[in-house]
Amino acid sequence: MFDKKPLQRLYYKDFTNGRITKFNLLVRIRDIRKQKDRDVKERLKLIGGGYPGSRKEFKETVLTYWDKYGFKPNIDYYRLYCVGKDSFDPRYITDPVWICYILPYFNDLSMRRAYDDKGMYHRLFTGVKHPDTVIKRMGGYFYNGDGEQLISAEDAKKLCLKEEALIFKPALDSSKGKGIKFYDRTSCTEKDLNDIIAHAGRNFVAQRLVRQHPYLSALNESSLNTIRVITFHFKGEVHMLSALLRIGADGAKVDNTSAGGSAVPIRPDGRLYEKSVNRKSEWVDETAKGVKYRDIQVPNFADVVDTAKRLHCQLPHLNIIGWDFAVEEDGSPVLVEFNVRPEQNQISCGPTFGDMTDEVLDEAFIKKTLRQ
Amino acid sequence: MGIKSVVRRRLENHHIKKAHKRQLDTIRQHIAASKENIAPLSAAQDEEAKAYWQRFGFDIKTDWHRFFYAMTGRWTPQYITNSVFYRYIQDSLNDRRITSAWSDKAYLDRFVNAARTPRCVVRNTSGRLSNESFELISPEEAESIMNRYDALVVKPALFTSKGKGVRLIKKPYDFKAVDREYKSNYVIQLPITQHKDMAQLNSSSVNTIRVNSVLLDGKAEIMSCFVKVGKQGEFADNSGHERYFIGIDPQTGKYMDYCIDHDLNKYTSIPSGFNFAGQPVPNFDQLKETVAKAHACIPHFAFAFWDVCVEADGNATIIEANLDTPNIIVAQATGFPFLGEQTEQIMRYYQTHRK
Repeated sequence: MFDKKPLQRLYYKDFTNGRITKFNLLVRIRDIRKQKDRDVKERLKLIGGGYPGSRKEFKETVLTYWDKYGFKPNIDYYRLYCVGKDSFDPRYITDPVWICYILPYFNDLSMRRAYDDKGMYHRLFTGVKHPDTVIKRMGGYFYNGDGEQLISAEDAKKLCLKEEALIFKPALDSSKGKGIKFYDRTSCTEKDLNDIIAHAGRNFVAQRLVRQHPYLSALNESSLNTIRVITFHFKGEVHMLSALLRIGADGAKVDNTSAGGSAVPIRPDGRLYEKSVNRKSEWVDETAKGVKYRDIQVPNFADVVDTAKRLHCQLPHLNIIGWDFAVEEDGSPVLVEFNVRPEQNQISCGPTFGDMTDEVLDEAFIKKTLRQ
Repeated sequence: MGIKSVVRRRLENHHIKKAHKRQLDTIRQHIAASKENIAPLSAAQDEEAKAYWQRFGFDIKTDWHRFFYAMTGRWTPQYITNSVFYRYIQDSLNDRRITSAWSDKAYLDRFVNAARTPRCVVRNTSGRLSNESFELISPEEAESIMNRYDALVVKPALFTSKGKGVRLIKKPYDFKAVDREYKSNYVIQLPITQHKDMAQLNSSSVNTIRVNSVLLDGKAEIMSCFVKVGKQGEFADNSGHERYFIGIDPQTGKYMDYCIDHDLNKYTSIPSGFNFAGQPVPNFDQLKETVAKAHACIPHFAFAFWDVCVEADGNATIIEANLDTPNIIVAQATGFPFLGEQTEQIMRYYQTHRK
């Protein structure tokens, strides 16, 4: 299935940092493929087999389409993506191709670690609201909220103790809400705070909780429900690929689907689609409290999309970015974080590149004109 | 040879660049060929140097000490060897995974926002053109921005060394030609007017000061520094071989009484005829302050190696942040140990903080 040569070239920078051999690289790619294939099989079982198209149809539509790019995708992905459709749609991109080819081509992942640092957001992005940061720790040193003043560990603790509630997030190497800790003055002692700081690592940010818009908190009060917008810089323009509203599970403090949350696609006008999808690919049309998704309008959605597009221009070397925005009580978008290896959201939002698919795949696999 | 040693050697070779290797060979040749010119160390000195580094767990040969002692006339066991610095100390205290991104000239003003940096009017990052405030622009717009200025400097923004590709361009501009030549990852900046005292060293080039700094326990300090004097008639101060390095005392900010060239030959004068010995670097205290502020912005790196220019108004401007390969041979041959007065402190920090 895989042509190994471009993989070596594209993946070299990311995984190896110039230090690991070809062997390690190929092993890593094989592992990704196996893992993703397994995931898809499990999800297909949960939804009862997916789209029941014949192998002949798959060959005629999908395999013929991907043949010119040198790929022979696995049918399971298309059975999953085309659930509820009339035919196979070849524009869907399988996860191994997305992770091993598309992302490394469009995003210079050797730069990922530097720009993905939450402690650097205040310097990288201007003209957008960030959550109120009380302290941050970068490279083992404590800084004040705006990141401009080095402070001692003792002062950092004092600043935290003044706050009612804080969220501690790892600034580097974080994903799926892992490592996030909460501090609440009413329930935590000073010793608890010491423990949180001691175990938060050398790179973290401590922020006040964002007061989200009432429309969004109505969906689930316990979590900060964020809008995930994927933007794509292509041919001198920034496009929005898809947008989702992520809603935390009842009682959960984070909104990640991996932590039991669900995701609802957002229409271009800001209204939600009828159904949300969770990690188990189950479609639901209302929240745990009985709020119908179709009745919800995401506040200030146009502003969120404009902000994401504007910020994308400020971030170099990366052409595909997944942005997480919260919306404050007054409707202004707040940048929570961004992700340089976003998932595709194809189950809920359709083919990743939509009508641009042919153009994008030609660029990534045939023309290869992107300068990096 | 075990796998660990192979990997370490590979890393060392990877990080020491070609030009640097040449100097390394030069030292070896100097030591091998001209034994009579480089007096041997006394037994006490030899023992002192070995014992000093043994304390931190390093068995060293004293050839380097012998060479630098002969060169500078200043004895100290604190001279550090390439292998100790690159293999162990720098690898352990700098986050090398992010060096290329953080030394990107197109983003220097964002990363090191506490210090003065050159004004970028056009930036190209991975083929994406943007203006000073990071808004996307077309090639036509880039050319119209350039036409607002009489002279501009074009530089590659990433993976640069030895001033390669740094050029002063003047009106009329042809942006397409620039774009064809530099392809991607380059910056177009406003030129800098250097201080008149710095111009005395060589008026055609911007003579920058290489400042090596260390960030320990939240405090940034200068370890060692030297000034790079460009070739006469050249714009960049670090291209070609006919360039000179003059050591600067990091405490007083005064030039040493000799200079060296790229091949580590010693001179007492430079082609411009300026008598530099004992002269002060203009506004050195402010320069130190600027570097300390800049280093506090990049806490993932214990070591940073800055190219700093003293502008006509006396303010220090950070031209470049080098985070990968400092020239420790030149830094030591121009007068002072590379890690400077902080050697002891750094080595103790290394022992407790190494990864």
